[in-house]
Amino acid sequence: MNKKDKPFLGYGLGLRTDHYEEILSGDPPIDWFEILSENYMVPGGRQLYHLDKIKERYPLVMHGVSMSIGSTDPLNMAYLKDLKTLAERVNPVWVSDHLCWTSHGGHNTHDLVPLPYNEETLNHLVSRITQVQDYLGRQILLENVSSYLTYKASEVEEWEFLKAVCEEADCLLLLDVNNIYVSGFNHEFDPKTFVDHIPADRVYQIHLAGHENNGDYIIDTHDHSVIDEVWDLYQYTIQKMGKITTMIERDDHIPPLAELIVEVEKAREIGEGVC
Amino acid sequence: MLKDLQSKFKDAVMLGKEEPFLSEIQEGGKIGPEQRLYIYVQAYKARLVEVLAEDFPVLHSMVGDDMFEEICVRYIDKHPSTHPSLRYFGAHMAQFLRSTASYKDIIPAIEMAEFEWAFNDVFDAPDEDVITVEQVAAIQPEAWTTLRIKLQPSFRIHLFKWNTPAVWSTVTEGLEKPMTPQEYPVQSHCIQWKKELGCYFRTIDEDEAEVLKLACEGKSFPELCELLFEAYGEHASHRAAELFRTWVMEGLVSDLEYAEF
Ligand SMILES: [Fe+2]
Repeated sequence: MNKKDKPFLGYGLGLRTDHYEEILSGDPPIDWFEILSENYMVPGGRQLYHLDKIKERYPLVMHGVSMSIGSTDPLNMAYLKDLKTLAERVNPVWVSDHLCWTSHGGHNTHDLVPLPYNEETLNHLVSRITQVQDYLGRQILLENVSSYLTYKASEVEEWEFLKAVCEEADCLLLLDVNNIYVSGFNHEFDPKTFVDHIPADRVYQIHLAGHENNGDYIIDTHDHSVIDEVWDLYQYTIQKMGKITTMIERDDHIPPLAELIVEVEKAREIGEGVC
Repeated sequence: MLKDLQSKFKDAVMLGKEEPFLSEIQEGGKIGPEQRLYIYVQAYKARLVEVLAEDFPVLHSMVGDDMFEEICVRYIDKHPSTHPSLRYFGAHMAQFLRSTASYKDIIPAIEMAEFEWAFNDVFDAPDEDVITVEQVAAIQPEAWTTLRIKLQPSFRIHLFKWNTPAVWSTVTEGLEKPMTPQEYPVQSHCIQWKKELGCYFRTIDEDEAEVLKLACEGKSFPELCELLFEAYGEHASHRAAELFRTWVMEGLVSDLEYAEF
């Protein structure tokens, strides 16, 4: 992929099992889907069957949660091999994961744990991202995660770190606007400052999601509709960066497709209205 | 050091050893380091319990909420996830119950864990084309003496002492009064497999179980007949052919190997 011809896929949705039938039997106004890679890294069965059908009709991108790019364990080559095999089957427009770590000492937390933002982490990430991109034969997108703690070992702000990582490792970004909002609330920074520092040419995709506000802190649950403040931040983001491939990400309390289409349409309205 | 930091986080979340990691967290903001760490500790446990509840719904309903929660918490400690996908997290449940003093005598629960887990493996086993009745009809009579059957990859066989499959059915169907677990007079085999993306199972007779096991080992059709000879005498090959036809119609057979004449 060349930065100059950044693809624009339009307005999409995270593909969820509950919606397979509805998607295949109708013609929902969704431009593209994002699949959760790990769900399809299996030998056979219904998941792959539906994936093959949906792939015929919609552009797809792959989104993983277990690359553990920031872990100090060796890269999990078996995982990367399965990921590459899936990518050959799906032929996604791009492949993404998160800027975080998930496993240590061979054990998986299945959580997106934040990294300390310092020189050591930066060097570690640059070397691993380079290896992964070489192995997969493509640039990857990395997503900013929601976090609930800051390390004493961090030396720079998250946005400065994110910029340094993608520029030095020559990777791309999946900007989760809700995660910026959540982390901004939890760490008391202005989400707009975050957006202001992100290099727009690296941002290939945007996630929009809902969350749970507990008063003193926000948990990134992906089980609610997108809130107004996050819509506003989305608008601010594309005003600064231009039109970007955007999707609604819902992982829990999954409503009927129609309800999510309303949110996809809202993203479209904002996205097309601004640009 | 990044490695130490990750190690401390893991100890805090997986082993409850919180002090070393707490001292790595920046103070300040509306909540303190303890509460910040607690969010991760809770999320770790909740996520894994949720996965186990999805994988073992009938086991859950058999033992009730409190005991299921206790099983999950102990399981999570004993078998931390080693696979990048949560799909495989519950793989050790039956063996865990069998080897844990407080659960090892609850045979129906152990059997249910084995049965429910196997559905996962059946569900996403490799999809292979199955042999059709027409393909069987095309086998030359002479070739039957060399015939070997390959069962499709989703095939699983279990030996149960309790009425586990029947309980599973009535709970899964949502019957108001599901069948209660009962010990069989004699233990019984049950097979599971996938056909056209659907998962199936049935309880089978002892002779069929023995023959299926031989077929899995790659034994030839005459060897299967031989096994049936004691019970069926001259009708052994008839019984073997009848079983074979059933397996083909059920979509259990994915390949045939025989010499051309
Ligand atoms: Fe996201």
